[in-house]
Amino acid sequence: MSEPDGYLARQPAAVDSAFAVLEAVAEHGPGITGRQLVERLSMSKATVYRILKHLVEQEYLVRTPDLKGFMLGRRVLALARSPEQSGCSAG
Amino acid sequence: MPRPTFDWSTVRERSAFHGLDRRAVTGTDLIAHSIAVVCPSASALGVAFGLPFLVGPGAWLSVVIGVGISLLLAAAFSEFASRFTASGSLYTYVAKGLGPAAALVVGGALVLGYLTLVVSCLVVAGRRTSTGVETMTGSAPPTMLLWLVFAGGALACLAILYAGVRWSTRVALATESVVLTLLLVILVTLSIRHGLPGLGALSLEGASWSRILVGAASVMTITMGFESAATLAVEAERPYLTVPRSMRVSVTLTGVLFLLGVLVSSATDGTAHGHWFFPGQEQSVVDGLARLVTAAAELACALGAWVAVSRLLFCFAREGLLPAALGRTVRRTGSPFLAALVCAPFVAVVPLAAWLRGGDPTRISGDLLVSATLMLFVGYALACVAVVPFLGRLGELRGRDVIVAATAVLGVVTMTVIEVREDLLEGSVASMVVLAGVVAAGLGWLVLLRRTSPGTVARIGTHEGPLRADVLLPEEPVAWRPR
Repeated sequence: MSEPDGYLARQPAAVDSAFAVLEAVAEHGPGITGRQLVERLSMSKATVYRILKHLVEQEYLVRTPDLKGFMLGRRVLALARSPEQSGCSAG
Repeated sequence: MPRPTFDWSTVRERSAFHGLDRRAVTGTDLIAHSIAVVCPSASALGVAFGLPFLVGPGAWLSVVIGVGISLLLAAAFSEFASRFTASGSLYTYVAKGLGPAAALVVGGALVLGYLTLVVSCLVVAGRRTSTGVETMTGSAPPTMLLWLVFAGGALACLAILYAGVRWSTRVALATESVVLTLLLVILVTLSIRHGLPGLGALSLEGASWSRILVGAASVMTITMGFESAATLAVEAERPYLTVPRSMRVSVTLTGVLFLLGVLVSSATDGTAHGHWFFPGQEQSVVDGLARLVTAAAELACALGAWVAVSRLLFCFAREGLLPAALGRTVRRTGSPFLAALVCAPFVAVVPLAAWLRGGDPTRISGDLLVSATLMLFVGYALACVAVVPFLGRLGELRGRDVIVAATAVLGVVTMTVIEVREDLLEGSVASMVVLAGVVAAGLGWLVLLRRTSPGTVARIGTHEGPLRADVLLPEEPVAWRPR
């Protein structure tokens, strides 16, 4: 049975976009604003703001104290943890 | 793009609202808190049955307009709730958008609004208990029972407030689970007995727009208090997700139940009120018990409003607007108990004065509810106006935000004018006095602060910035970094 078109057409692109935003924040460092992210990424303003809102809700991103910029949230650490720290072993 | 320097000293170890039981309230419990304050059982079994008689044809449209405005308000408040957390709710939102003068007006309005809601709910709980006992036994209990329920309810609220936010929200969840189930059973029972309303119930033939708008104002008051979830933002899990969702869900659920109540009641002859299961029988244990359950819903509403007002006073104390003691929390439970306790005299004085005066407690709760409504409407309108400058300063203002905020302001101002007009037509100036009093109190407070403690004014609108425990620090051991 084939996957519904909606899944194939949209969802992976949304995941790619979310990772692109996360990587842009990581590369730029804390304090990057929504407007700067729109300039940096080849995405519409609406898409960038929607993704930012979702990532903040899920606590992968955190707003800076002045609320204008973004920084990586602690939840990202779980994704970036080294194999030793996450309890995995090569053997 | 050059890598900017970021001042890591702005990321604190400790929250401005430290001491609270941070991130302890689950999303479900937060929704239950919001629903408890809105108290849909009171509206769906009370106002909904009266609305068709008040509005005539088009009562359903009143529901759509009233609930629609409340949903727009929820959307506007979410612009703040999805960006920062604070215990100050709309007070902090307005401070961010419009500055300290408007914030103090809203802060005062919210505190008085929630306090009057607490008193009103306790009085109604007492009244419902009395009628419940009367329905069960067939004889009217002494008036003293109403005041015993009032005092007992207030003490129970204080005990739960001391136990902490996990208890208060869980009590709300348990109560609302029972109440909403009962509500659905009653509506289904009435539908089976009287049949479902035909399409004629949706007809607008003979409808009066002025009556529809009066009905919409009445409907809007039933969703009042949905924003109280925002006072628990610091204590909620994933607050940027759960606080906006709680506001949205509580308004939607109340709207759906209310609309069902209106449609079901339009098929009845209006005589079943209070005798839902055994109409025509003066004495009915089942109907009496159902009334006692709705009394419990009122107590849950009083508890939720008391929780909200305690967080506001706690926030004021942390900013230096009130004595620091009110900003302390119980070490074990994280409850700002002193801020809750300080409300008790106000809760006690209002009914005590009425009792000594020999007044009718039914009348007191009605008057209080109108006052609370207007005070909260002031807060709602200013918070919507604040959305535009707030988002503009962040560089995140979109055309959609302006349209939502402007429509919500227009709606809430229209509803306020209608409420005041209705009051004036009844020969009362109480609503005008309340509105003028709230604005004067807020501005007076600002003048006093500027004279006695100018530094405090700068702290108005404090939010919880990112904590070191929440962010990925530069020294964190990560295995991979993007190139």
